[in-house]
Amino acid sequence: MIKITNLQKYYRTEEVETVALNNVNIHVKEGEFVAVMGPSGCGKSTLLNIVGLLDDLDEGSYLFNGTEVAKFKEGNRSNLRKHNIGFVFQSFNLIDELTVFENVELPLVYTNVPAAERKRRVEEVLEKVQIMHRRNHFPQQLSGGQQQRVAVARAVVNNPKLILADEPTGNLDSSNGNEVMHLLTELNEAGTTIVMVTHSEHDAKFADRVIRMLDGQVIMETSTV
Amino acid sequence: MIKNFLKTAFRNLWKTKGYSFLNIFGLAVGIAAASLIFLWVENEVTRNDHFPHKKDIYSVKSKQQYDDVTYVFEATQGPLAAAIKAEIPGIKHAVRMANGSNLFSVEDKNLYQGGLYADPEILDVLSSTFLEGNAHTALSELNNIVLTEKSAKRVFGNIPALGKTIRVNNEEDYVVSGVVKNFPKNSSFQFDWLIPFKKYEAGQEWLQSFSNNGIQTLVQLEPNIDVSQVNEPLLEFVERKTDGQVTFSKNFLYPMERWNMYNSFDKNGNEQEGFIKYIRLFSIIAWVVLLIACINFMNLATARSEKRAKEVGMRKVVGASRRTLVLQFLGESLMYAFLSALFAIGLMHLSIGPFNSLLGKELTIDVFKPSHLVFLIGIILTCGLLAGSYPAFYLSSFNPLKTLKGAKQKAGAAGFIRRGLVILQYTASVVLIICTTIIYQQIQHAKNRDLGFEHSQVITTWVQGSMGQHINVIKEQLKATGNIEEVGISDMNVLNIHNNSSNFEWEGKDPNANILIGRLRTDPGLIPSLGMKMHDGRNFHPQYVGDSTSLIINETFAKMIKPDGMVAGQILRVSGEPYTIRGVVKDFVYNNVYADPDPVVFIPYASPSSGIMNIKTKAGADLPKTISQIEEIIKSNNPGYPFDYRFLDESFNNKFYSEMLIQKLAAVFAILSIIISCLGLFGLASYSAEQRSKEIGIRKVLGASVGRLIGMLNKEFVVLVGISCLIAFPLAWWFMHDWLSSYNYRIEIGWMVFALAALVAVSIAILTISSQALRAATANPTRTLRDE
Repeated sequence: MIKITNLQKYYRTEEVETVALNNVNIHVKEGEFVAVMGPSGCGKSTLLNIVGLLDDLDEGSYLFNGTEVAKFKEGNRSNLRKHNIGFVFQSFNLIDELTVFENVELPLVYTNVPAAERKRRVEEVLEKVQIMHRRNHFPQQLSGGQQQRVAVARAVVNNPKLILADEPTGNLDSSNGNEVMHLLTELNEAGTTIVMVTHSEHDAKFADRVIRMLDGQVIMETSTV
Repeated sequence: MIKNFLKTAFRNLWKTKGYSFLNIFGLAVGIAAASLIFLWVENEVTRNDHFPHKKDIYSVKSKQQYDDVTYVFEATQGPLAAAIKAEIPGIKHAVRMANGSNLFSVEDKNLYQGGLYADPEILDVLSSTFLEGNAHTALSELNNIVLTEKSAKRVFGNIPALGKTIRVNNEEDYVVSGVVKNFPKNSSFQFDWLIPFKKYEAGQEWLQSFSNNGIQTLVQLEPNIDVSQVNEPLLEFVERKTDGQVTFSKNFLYPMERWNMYNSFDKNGNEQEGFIKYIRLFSIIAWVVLLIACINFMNLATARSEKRAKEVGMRKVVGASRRTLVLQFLGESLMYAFLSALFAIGLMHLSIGPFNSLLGKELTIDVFKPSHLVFLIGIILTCGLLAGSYPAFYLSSFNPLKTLKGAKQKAGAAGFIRRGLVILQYTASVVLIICTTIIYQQIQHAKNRDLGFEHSQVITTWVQGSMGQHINVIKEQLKATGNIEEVGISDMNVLNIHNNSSNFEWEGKDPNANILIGRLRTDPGLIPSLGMKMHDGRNFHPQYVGDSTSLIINETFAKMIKPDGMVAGQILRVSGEPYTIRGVVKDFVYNNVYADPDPVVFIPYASPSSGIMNIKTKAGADLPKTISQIEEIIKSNNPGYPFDYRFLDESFNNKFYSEMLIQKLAAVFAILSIIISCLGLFGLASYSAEQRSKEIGIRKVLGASVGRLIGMLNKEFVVLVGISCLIAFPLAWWFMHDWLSSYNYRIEIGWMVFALAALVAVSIAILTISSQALRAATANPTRTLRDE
């Protein structure tokens, strides 16, 4: 599904050029659950953002389902994103002015899904993450774990082929964290490919494979299965 | 999707009620101001639209050249109308008209009504709608009178007026032959009655000659006639008709479509912009005020962008394209504009009364009138798109990665633009402050100039009915009250001398010079009653003893005859007849209060049958008591006529109508623009204080005083206001220099005005900002620092 070859990514300021990712090669198969680990600043989030087409790569190739997407313009990226990729962030990133239902509904709004269908799918996914009873609440009225469950619901409502999770349990206590990890595992078992960035060895154990990074390079890949 | 956008917009609005209010209120004030100006402009430009033949209606004007000045007068010759209709092809109707004010008496009701003596065709030209009677017979008999609906109601109440008799001026009975519908209030024709012109013509020999100009001529052309085809033969028409005897008057047609907006002529007789100047000026100012309000919206929206950054980022992540985001934010600003428009309608209802009294109009708000609806929708779209475009493009440009990481957006370009917009707002405000002050100074300058006469405590009333026969008795009785100092008669208001001629000759006069001299018939009481002073010679003797061929001239005229103006005793020939200049009165200001006085001659008015009685009351006299004494005396000598009076002060102040109007409107707009700019500054300052709360906390911990912190927060904005002043000064100087150049008697623009404007702008800015700065500076630093 994802084939990244010889990826280079630099961050430039007026005086300094920093190599964020150096010669990274990654291959993720459909249905895989991959965890990316490494110390802070090693480039794992940058990698995830490039995979999610939120950030550019400077050199190298990125094949998404066999299509070269490295040079995609913003319009194409946005299109590919909304139909194929769901995101889960450490800080949930729910829109404060929208209710739980409306937050989850948002990706469907942008893919022009009819209202009745939207309602059905949002309710279905809210049931799945067990937050249906909070559907009319605003994010500020929910606990961290509940907010992250809403974020996961939002990420999967469009049935994406790929979910990218950036430290999804980073802001949660262990019990809420476990809940979210189980949720991701279930989704993976249902066929969704997941790439997750994490600091947590415990969370990484839920993945099929762990990619370890240091100073912008992949230094080790281990299978947990 | 729209539902989703609307929900977000409303919830955002509600969440930040304070800022939303600043935005909506500011924009509403701007929209209300622009809409009121729109109502005024609409009222002015549609003035005569109710006349179906508007495009074909013209007044005849007379262009007359005297030395190096060409005057354009409305007054035309008596025989002109009939002659041009008969001889110039393309003229459908040519109507003679003269204004008049008559006393109507019906049973015990006596009241003055103003109207027109006019040829019967006027009813066709103006397409009058008859409520009673008909156009064919209405003005066919000499003693017919047509009333307007309003006048008929005033005179007869709610009963039909047709066939009823009205006694006019206690002399003659007229039969009401028709009642016509009132014209709209903004029509150029406002009359209470129409009487056949032949009635006016009777016994007025001067109306039979092409040498005298005195009445108005109204023309309606055949449809689709090119006016130049008529103007060409009309220009030399009088000269041809008189075989070259009368050459001074070159006539031409002036279209009804330009009466209101232009109708002003320069000293070469060329048309120049009239009222349209003011209409244009205030339309521009209204748009500037609206722009200032839109700027507030832009500034507050971009300043608050960080609050929306996460939302933008997340929407982008889940698939929103930049286009959808731009549409979302534009939609939001349109919603704000819509709410502001609703608010503005309320504000307009509150302010239409004072606005009407300011303009002397009766404008009404009718939101559902098609033109108003189109304007309102237009203004909502303009404001929404104008105010929303920049924030929409700015917000939608956010990088989702950075916003979701919580990184601050670079304020670079946005900050620069925001500062630029604040400068623009304050520049406009400072320009308006300066202009208002200079206009005020100019008006005061003209009002306080040495006028050459005293206009205060002078009561004026018409000489009418049998007053002329008892004029000396009335004068004596008035003086005997002990409250009246002097009484003077003139044939017209001394402030408006519109009778003039060029038939004066004197020794040493350049034989080629053709000078127009104003003529005022006066009695011996005028000079003392108005406190005029003599430059040379003396006033007329009481009863004109020995003064039957005496004249008094003003100083300007005297200096034309002899540089020192000491010409008492010299002979002045009027149409060849010798008269003696008995006195030279010191120059006094009349007609144009901003110009140097033109030459004028006082001619004895031995038996006044009409005109103005100028009654100078004694200093300290009890005015209400004096007025009732005057009323009693005049009524007893002139029974059957109601007593009507006004103060000369009012006539004098009316001279400043246009300037006062500009000054008042400029002041209103200056205040509005300052209020709106302050709302914006208040919003920006509070955001700035909020954003810098951590910095303020740290500075406080390190020992900064509250005063110093307030100074720090003020500095950022005061610098911007300072830059605004620097830009506004030359702009305002240029506008005002241009405006003042049209006045001969004018002020010099002083530096104090600029200093004052800067002081006002900076003080208001500091006051606005300090309220927010004080709050930020006195906040407990541990709270702001703990947040981190």
